[in-house]
Amino acid sequence: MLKAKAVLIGLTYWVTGQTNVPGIFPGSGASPPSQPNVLAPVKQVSPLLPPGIDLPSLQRHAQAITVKVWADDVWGSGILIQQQGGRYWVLTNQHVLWMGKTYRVQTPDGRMHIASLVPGVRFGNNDLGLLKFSSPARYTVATLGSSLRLPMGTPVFAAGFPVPIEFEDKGLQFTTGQISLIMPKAFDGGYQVGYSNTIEKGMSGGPLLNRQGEVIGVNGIHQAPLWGNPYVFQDGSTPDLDWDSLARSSWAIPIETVRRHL
Amino acid sequence: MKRTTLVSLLAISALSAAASVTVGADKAQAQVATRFYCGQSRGVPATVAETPSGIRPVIRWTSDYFSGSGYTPEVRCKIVSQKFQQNFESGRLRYLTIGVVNQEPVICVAETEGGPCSDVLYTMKRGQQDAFATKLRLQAVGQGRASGPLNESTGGGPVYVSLADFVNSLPVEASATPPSTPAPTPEAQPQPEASTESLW
Repeated sequence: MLKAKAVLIGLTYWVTGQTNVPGIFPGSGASPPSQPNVLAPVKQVSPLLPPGIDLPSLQRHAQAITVKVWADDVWGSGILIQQQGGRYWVLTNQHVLWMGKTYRVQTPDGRMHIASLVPGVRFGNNDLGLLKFSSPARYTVATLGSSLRLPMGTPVFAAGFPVPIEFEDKGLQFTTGQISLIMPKAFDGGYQVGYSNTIEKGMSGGPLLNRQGEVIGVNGIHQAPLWGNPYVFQDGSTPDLDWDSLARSSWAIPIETVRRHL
Repeated sequence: MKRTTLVSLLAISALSAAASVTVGADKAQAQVATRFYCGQSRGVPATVAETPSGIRPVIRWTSDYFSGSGYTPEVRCKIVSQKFQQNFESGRLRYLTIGVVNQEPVICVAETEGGPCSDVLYTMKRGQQDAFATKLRLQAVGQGRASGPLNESTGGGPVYVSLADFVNSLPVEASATPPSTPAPTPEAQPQPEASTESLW
């Protein structure tokens, strides 16, 4: 029922939505460089796509701003969020950083950079962390949008680096979907934006993008959690929705929350 | 039989236990197709969960620490994966917590947040310094992220809590097996120690 409603709203949005939305590409100066795809081919999962969306450009942009964040010998994902004179800042999830003690960032050109926590940055009870690294190479950094006022059904795009099952490394995963739920207040960890895109282990910390390629959220909770209850508001209360309605969505921390802390 | 006393480190969280139990019950019924087994991830034995929405790696078993006593990564992977599966099937895999059994720290299953251990998943090596961090990481794996004790972190990096502090905080030392649970054979042996395993 909920899903049907979301799809209906989504279709309405696609029909009435602008098809010529000014984006951050192409020709805006932030268009992604044509870098060699050394990590792996971009894999696209695109069940339904509204018209007027430049999917190849979105994919290239996602690949340019999404990094692999290594914590010791395991990884999550991250977003190149800012740069200044050869120094880069990478936004990721706190729970990605928990997985190890020493950090490295693998950029889209395949290079590995030693990274460290940015001192003095605190995200409170939000599942966010900020790393920095230095490099003479030029990398595209993200442009930030907003998510909390998006209508249900708005098309969104998620990216990140899934942890492989068996030996297969999928490289960057890029999935399409729609906004499915936006909660009036944040769950523990700051999660507030629900969406239908599939998120896999390892994609935590990767970007949730709008059709213009702006980062509107940070991936963090996949569908159907295995144990525990992530759907508890920060004040300890719980939403008036059953588990399935919540577990059908992946969940992101809205970029508005990131902005408040930077 | 002495009641095994276990400590939920999630007590820090202010969430309503009653409400979350209800939600947890719904979840267990909704995920009948989920299955835990010992597979592989990046070439090493791994406890993985096959779910309707994808395959989730849970623990990579990389440590050879107990291989000498027969607990190779493969053996540990099979034992613990089976325990995950058994607890999932019986609807008991709701929350994970840390307890102490026979003076050793254990990762176990709790049916309620803050509730007692209903089954031991594995025993951690005695003296392990990062049992707390291991537990937080496992909690993050289950939820797809880290949970409430984020504020335990002082520097934004890994959470370090001395095991001595943790053990000293226990109200009662436990030495018996959990109530209504037969002594699990694997726990009677030197147990796989998971501090060096990789979690997501």
